[in-house]
Amino acid sequence: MEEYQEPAIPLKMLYGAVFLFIIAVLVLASLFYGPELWWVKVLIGGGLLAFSALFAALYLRSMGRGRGD
Amino acid sequence: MTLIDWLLVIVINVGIVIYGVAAIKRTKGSFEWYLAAKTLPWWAIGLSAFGTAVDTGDYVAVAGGAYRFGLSQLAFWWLGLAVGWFVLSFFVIRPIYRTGMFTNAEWLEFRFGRASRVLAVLINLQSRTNVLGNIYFSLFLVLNVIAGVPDSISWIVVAFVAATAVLYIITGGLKSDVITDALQSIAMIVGAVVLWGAVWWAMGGWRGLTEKLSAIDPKLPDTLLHVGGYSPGGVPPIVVVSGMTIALITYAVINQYEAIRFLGARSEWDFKMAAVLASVVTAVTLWFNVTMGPLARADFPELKIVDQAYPLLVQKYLPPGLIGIVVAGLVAAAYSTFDSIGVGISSLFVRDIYARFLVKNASDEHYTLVGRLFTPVVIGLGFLYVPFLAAPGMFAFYIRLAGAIAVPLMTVILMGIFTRVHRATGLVGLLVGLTYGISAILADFNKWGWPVWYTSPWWAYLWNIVLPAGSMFLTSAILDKVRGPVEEEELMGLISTGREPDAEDLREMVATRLKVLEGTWLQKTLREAPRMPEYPFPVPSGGLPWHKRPAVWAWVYLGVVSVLLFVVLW
Repeated sequence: MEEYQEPAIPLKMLYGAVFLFIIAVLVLASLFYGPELWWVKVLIGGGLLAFSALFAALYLRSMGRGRGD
Repeated sequence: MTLIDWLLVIVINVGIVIYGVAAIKRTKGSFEWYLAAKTLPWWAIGLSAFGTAVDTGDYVAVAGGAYRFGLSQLAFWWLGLAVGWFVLSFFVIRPIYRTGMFTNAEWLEFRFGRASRVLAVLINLQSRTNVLGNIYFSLFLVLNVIAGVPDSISWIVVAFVAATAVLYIITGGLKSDVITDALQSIAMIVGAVVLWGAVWWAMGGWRGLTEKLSAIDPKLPDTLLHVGGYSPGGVPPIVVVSGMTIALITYAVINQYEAIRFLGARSEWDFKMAAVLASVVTAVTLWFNVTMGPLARADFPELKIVDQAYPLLVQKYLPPGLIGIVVAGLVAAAYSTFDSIGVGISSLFVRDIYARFLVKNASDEHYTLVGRLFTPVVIGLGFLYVPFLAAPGMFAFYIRLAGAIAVPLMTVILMGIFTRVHRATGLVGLLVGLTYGISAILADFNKWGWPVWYTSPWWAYLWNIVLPAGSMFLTSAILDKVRGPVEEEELMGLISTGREPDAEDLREMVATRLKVLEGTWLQKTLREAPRMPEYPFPVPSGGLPWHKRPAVWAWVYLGVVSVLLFVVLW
């Protein structure tokens, strides 16, 4: 049986970026339900997008390093 | 709950579960499955210890408890749990970690004999399956009250959450548990802050809360908004606060499912620093949760089932989207405790019952497999408690049982770590404490008219330190006269203050100390456990700078919360 390999760190970064992006989109989409506490939703959604972008940048950088760029 | 809320709950929690299953390396041997091959850093252990200690029950039941007992519960979380973690990481864990043991019950046999080991397993099993029951019931209330999900479907969802937690534990063991806990703890913190902010804002802050409580009953602000405010008939406030503090010191000291993540640390410095981080994160988050109780009392003064307080606040104050975040945090809290109890109690069953008494010399793979298979059994046992939880509130039920059954074990462990009492005294201490505790429960339950100082759950916390410790000292003094004092060799490596040989000698000495372990898998693992460093980094010749010393941060933490509890909020 082939031995299971733990995914490399860049893949975990990509997973984190996509995961946080989806949550951010959902939080921001909930603004369509009404304006109540809108600023809390924007704060949380914006924070999640920032972290998502950070993970995406780390992923792209590590991929670039992997190709020897 | 709207579609967007459901999507948030599902995406956040399924996302973390998938990460736990797919992204953590599948473990092979028992050392890897139970102890993450001792690779865990302090921040992961700290967040995981918080996520493990604070479950859905502690969001829902703490708000329910504070609805009745007010801010007195802060002592429980701010002081009790932190002191418990500090005692665990600075004193109790050290000998277990250095000798290569996997469980605290294992240490108990070396220190106090076989019966203590077995009783520790049974007490851990009772106490943790009780907590599992609390979480199931809390999660049910969240789904039923907030989301309006029918009873039967709510229970199916609860069972689904429990089953999926089992999934990543079976594959990744302690490492999956700790890493997913760390992620889940972030969801928990965000959820707690969001709800608290919305309710606090709507209530008009501290002043608005005080006015609303006064309007219900002029005495309520004094009872609910002061740490020393709650005093049931015949029990002084300081006894209540002491009882709550001892309850969580006990929690941290006796529970294998807390201890095991500290034992998985990559160094001794890591598990000490983890205790500081866990204490700070818990203190901040629990401020938000405990104050939910008085806030709910001001808003819903006539609740019959107090544990509905938290779900009702969510339902009343949060708009779509934010409800999803809070419920996702509650579900994450359930996951982070399910998985920890699964690994922790499974390690106790395999090492302290199965390998010790039933199958002594099978392969390492065999014991890892048994551990994996036992995990769903542990998770399933929690459902047995559910019928008993609704009427008195989960918090009151837990307080009653923990004082009677768990505190004697803590007393025995601390006596074993800090004193040189004889080996035979452990069983005496446990039996004296359990006899008192169970008699107090029976007298209270059957209304035999015994005095409050005997039967009250709050007094039980104090007596279950005094009685077991007193009986152990007395028995030890008698044995000193009859047999002479305990020999140094018998205590070496097992107590906090004793002389310690070189690490390699210690390992061999411990592995060969109990004749019954000769040639067994348990002995093999004790011999083969790697020697771990004291620090994960090089230490400068002048010693560690102050900001890298866990003890400094522990004292700072204790100073700050003591002032807040006993001066500002008392």
